[in-house]
Amino acid sequence: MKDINWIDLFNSLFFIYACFLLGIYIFNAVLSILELRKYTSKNKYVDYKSMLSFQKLPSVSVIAPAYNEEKTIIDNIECLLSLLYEDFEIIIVNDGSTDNTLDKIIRHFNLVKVNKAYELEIECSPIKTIYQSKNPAYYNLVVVDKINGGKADSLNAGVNISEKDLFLAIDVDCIIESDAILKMVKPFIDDNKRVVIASGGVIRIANSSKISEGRIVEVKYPRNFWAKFQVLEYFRAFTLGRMAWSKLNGLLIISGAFGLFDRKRVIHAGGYDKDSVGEDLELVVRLRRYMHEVEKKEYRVAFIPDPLCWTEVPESYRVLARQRNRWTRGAIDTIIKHRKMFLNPKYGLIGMMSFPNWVLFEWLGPIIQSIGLIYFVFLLIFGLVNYQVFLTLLIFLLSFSVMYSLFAIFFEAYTFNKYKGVSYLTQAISFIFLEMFIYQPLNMFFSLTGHIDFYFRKEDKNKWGDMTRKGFAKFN
Amino acid sequence: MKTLIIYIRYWLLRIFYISLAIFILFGSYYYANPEITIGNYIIHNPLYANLENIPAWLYAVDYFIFIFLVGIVLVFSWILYYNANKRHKEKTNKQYMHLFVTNLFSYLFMVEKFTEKEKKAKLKTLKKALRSDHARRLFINTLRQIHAQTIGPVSDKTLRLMRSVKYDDLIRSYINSPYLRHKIFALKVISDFKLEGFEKRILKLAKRRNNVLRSEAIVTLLNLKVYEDLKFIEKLKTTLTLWDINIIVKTVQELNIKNIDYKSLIISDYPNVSMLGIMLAKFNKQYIFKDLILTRIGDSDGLLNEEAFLALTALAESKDDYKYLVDNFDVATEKAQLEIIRTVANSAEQEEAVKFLNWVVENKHHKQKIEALTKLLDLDLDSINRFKKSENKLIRKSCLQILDINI
Repeated sequence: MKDINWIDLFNSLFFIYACFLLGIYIFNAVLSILELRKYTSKNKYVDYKSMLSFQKLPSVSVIAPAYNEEKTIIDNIECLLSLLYEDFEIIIVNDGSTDNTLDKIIRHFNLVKVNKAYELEIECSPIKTIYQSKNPAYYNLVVVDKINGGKADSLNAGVNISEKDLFLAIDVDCIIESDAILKMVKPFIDDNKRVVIASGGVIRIANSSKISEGRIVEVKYPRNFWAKFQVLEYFRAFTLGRMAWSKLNGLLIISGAFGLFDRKRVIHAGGYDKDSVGEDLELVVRLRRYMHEVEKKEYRVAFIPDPLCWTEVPESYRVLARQRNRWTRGAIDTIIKHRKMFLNPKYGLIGMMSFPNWVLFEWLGPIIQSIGLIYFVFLLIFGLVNYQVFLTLLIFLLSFSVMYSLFAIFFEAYTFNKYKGVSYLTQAISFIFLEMFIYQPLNMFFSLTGHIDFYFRKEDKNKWGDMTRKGFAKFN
Repeated sequence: MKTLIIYIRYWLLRIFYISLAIFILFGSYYYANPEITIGNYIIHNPLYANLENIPAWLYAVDYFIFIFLVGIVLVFSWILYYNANKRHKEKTNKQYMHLFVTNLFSYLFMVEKFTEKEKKAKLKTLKKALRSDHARRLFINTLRQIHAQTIGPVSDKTLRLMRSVKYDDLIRSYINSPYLRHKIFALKVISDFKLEGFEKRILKLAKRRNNVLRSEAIVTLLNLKVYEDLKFIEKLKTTLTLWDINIIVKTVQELNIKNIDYKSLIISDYPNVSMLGIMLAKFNKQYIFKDLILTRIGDSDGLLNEEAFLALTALAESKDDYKYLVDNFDVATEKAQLEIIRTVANSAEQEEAVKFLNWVVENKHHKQKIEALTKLLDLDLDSINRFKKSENKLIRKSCLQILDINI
């Protein structure tokens, strides 16, 4: 024991961890290229609208929980009603809003109370009233008024009321592309080897974009400082991250803002976890567990790289901090609940790769990074820093980060090219550099606060936190 | 020749990627040594003096920095190139589209006759514009769109035009191309313009594992009307997806194909081929295949079992048929059960139907209850009144629901 050089040992551990992380990023990028090329090549000439006359398609319920959304709810529902699909219903779950959300919907859509019978297949807070419209044009709109219970609880209520094969869980304030359901349903009918249990889609940022009648009419790069960072982050996460995990069938998360699920399987797996603030991640992990433990069938979670859903991201430091804190608490909660899967070969690639990846880089990542930072300060104080090595490692990390982010921007331009113009490109590239010194350290800090809240402030553990939204700019 | 060029380009690109990977590996070796010898040549490493005294791991880091920096320059150049290229393409596409649309409309719809000289001049302008593959693809796509939206079936006039711009060279090379997007494009054009001479190649493509290519090839064969009895689908010996089945059924309905060999499809060993046969028999009201469809009831493949039930409900006409459906209600899937309720309720045997619907309300799940109650609302109000006061809460609520919605 006497001979151990602790400094060397720590240095090696941090170095190995960083190399491992970088290796995974490179691996993800390569897999994403392959998968994206395959997807675009396969679907270039697909006429999705032809699906409207298909004889055998699963029916879909669009479930949208709403809490104090009076400003935008009518536009949002109008947007959902104009989605293209043959057999679908829209279920708006009013989660005990304290403003005029429900009144506005009732008046605008001419709703009346109905005695709709349903089976309570998964647990949810009591449902007060169910409304349907007297106007035949809104025959597929159902509004559920229930006691406040949170997003997961509202989704559970929607799943209970739903009578369709699949359900699309969305955030009511998101803007969904009109052919979104068609594109999301396709994986469910074009795989005859594996059962598709869910499909996720890409979320893009719509802050500053022009909206008219619940539709995006002009995509604009956000003007807000914080939103600009998040554009880059979403490019990397969706285009390079989730696409790669989807290729491996190891995707563990489908965004809560936009995900299509097999309703029966979700019910059998127990529905959304009401006590989790990361209900989207938790549900996918539990569904996968259910498939491995109960059904034991070949299955997959599909991912559609087309940008089908547009959302408004936090524009202030405080709201961003709350959101990231909540994401961290959600991830920790899910990891602890399903720790059995960690390095468990019974769960195949999920147990051996995806889950350990979450544990090592999502859960432990911020902690290890913080320890690294403290360790570096310690070395500085005691004059143990080899500046030549330090500079080399710093350039190593920075050059990798720049290359990776540039690659994400390139891929976006190469595939879907939603944001356009020289101004966008210049800003996006310059924000790569700013991101490394402002946004990434802050994100690490928000994650750490999430850890602290989870372990030490038990009362804050399951708090959702207020998510103030500015609302999209209207365009007439 | 064109096919060969496509293949050369395809392989050159792959060779480039492989060379890049080899170069990176070779570079790491070169970087770690003072010199390397290739044949009679010795290449010195000018950076070696700086690296000599550093540990191996730092050497690796140095090398990766070099790779990442080269990567930054490369990706940055790609971004600039793609953006400039996309802008240029958008601009030229607009110009092309304007030229094509005006010329095609005047050629296809204008009543006034052009002189031979004028015709030649117009064709010359078109041919001049149609030098690149990209322009030819755009031209053909414009023609396809005009046809689909205005003219309908392909005319001789269109075929003459296609021949004059020498489309066959492009289509022939694309159908044999290694790129999926080329093959799909070629199939779409062959299908839309009913081009002959490609059947054997398409049949081969229909056997591919790639489902997009497979369904496109099958649809093309149907559009060409060379295998109208659809027997070839059985012979493909492949498992069709629901996507394939939907596309095939849609095409058969659009083309109004009737002389299908239902038997060979229904008895197929492949459940989805059998399902396709049953669906087609259902849509074309082929009552004579009812017995054959019956053999598929209870199949271990859930979808096939469901489709067999759905077909039987659509083809039910006698008392025995309804009796069979009622007797086998419990083995049907949920969707099939709902269809059985609708079918039995619409049958001539009212008394039997009411009895059956009452049984469903009392014993089956919520969805089935609702469907049965909706039908009872038309057939027997006494039952509705009784269920309104039922002790079973779910029955009572279901009853109130259908009264609320339907009255």
